[in-house]
Amino acid sequence: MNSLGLSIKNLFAKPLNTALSLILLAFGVGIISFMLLLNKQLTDQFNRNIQKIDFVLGAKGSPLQLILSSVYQVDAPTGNINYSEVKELLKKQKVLIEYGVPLAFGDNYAGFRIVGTDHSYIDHYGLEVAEGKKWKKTLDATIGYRVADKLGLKIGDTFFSSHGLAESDDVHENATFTVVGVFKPSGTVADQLILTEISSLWSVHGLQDLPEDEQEITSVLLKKRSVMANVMLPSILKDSKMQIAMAASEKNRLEQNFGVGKDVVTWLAYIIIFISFISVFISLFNSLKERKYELAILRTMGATQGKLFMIIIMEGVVLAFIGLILGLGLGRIALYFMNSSLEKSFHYDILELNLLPQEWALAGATILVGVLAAFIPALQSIRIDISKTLSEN
Amino acid sequence: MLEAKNISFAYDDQNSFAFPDFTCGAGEKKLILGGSGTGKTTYLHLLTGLLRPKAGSVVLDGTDISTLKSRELDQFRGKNIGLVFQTAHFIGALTVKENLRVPLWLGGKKGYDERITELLERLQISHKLNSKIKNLSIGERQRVSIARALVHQPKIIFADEPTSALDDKNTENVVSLLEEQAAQEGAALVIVTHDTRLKSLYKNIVEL
Repeated sequence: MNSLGLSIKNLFAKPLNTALSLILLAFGVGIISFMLLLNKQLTDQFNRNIQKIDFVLGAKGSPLQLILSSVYQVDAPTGNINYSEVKELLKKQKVLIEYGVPLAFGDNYAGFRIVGTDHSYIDHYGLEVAEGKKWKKTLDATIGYRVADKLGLKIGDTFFSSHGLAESDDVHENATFTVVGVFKPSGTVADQLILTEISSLWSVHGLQDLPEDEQEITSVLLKKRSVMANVMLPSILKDSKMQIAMAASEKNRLEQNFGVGKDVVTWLAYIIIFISFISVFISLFNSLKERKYELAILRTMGATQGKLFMIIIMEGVVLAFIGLILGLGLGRIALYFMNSSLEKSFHYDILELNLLPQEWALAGATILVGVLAAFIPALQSIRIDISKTLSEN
Repeated sequence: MLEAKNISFAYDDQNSFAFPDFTCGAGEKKLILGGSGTGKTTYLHLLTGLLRPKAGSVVLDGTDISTLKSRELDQFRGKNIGLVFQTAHFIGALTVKENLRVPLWLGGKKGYDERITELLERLQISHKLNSKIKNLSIGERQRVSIARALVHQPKIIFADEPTSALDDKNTENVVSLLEEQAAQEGAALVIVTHDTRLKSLYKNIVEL
């Protein structure tokens, strides 16, 4: 027998009151924890993919769309651009641009995007080959580990690409891809891609024999050499058919859009936590009225006022603690289901179950809610007049 | 061992009550008799430190309890005094055994589990060891409350109206039960009652 044990037994002697408080607490904590985890995972994922990319060069259109399609591979591209113009730009603006990674895409195999590029893509994302080798010639494909895993593709397997970015019947049967290698997991979008030479894409569409100055690609990931690039590049491209999208500002825009919904849900969670605070308070306050005689008896048996105070506070803390644990678990379960659906639509793999720094703050705040809700009932327990309470019976 | 001298109590400035002096030696048994309205309960609460006297002193085992701080008084009472109330009240969330552990815990005593079983056997309710209080009859509750007053080996036991709701036969039973148990523990016993049936059983009587 001790204060904590007595607090716990008192709580479970009133299972319905306790359950109500716990459910409210768990939902409030759970929603906040879920939002924090989701935000962290999406930000991490976004940052990992956007690393070192300062701009995306592509056809004129929505800059956000250009970033989404070229960096995250989740949207359709804005159009095509002339490859020789790109090469000329890269050559002329060496002062501004450190390097560019050309991308050509628009086809898929079984829902996985086929991206034509050169080996600078491998270096940019730090990809390593797990099996086989890097693609070398047209229609060689080195595939991400998830592609290999989901489709059961092995080295030497062949496939036809189909047109568009989602599975379709529009199959290009004139050109056969051959798997020559599989990458190690990198935690980036490359895990979900089929990488090949740019010329493979031309070949598939029967464009392999176009003169060099008519060849097209989709976009280029750019790494700047000088901050001047931010100002200079847009003005250089002003009269061309191309534009650059700034990765950082588009990313911020994306986070802000996502943030509006996040704020609403977070406020909802705070309201739920506030209601649970009231619930804990009322439940302790009521049980105190019923237990006045019990508390007086405890005093006759040697319990000091401080001890009664602690017993009541402890009841609030125990409630908050159990609610917190349930809530953190709930947030993770929700995230787990969210992940399974995200994986399908976004081809993203996100799973991280460690406690975040903000969740430690959330834990502290929840325990504080327990202490505060118990504070007034605990003060009342101190003020109980033992003699009067015992003789009132 | 317990000595109360010149004690008086006042709820407010106008109404002051003086109470008779009271002494009780170790292992002695005494009866405090008084009709309703004579301040029995107040007297009991003064003697056990649940109330502080306006004047006078209550000395238990060499300690003047009217001078103790609230915290010290609670602890002192918990260690030295066992109380049996008219209606037996317990911590509803706990079993019989756990309720008996409460005074031991509050008195800082450990390893008394055997004693709990032994006491309950003596009082013939050991089969209710793990029952919740709400599943006990009134008689059983009274026995458990006697066990609870004794379990931490207090020097003196006070019983408040232990027989008021009982018939003659049960009155005798309860009184002899209290006396037997107190005697076995070597504790003094003070019964506070308006029940004149007990008068014939006691030589040492303080009438209010």
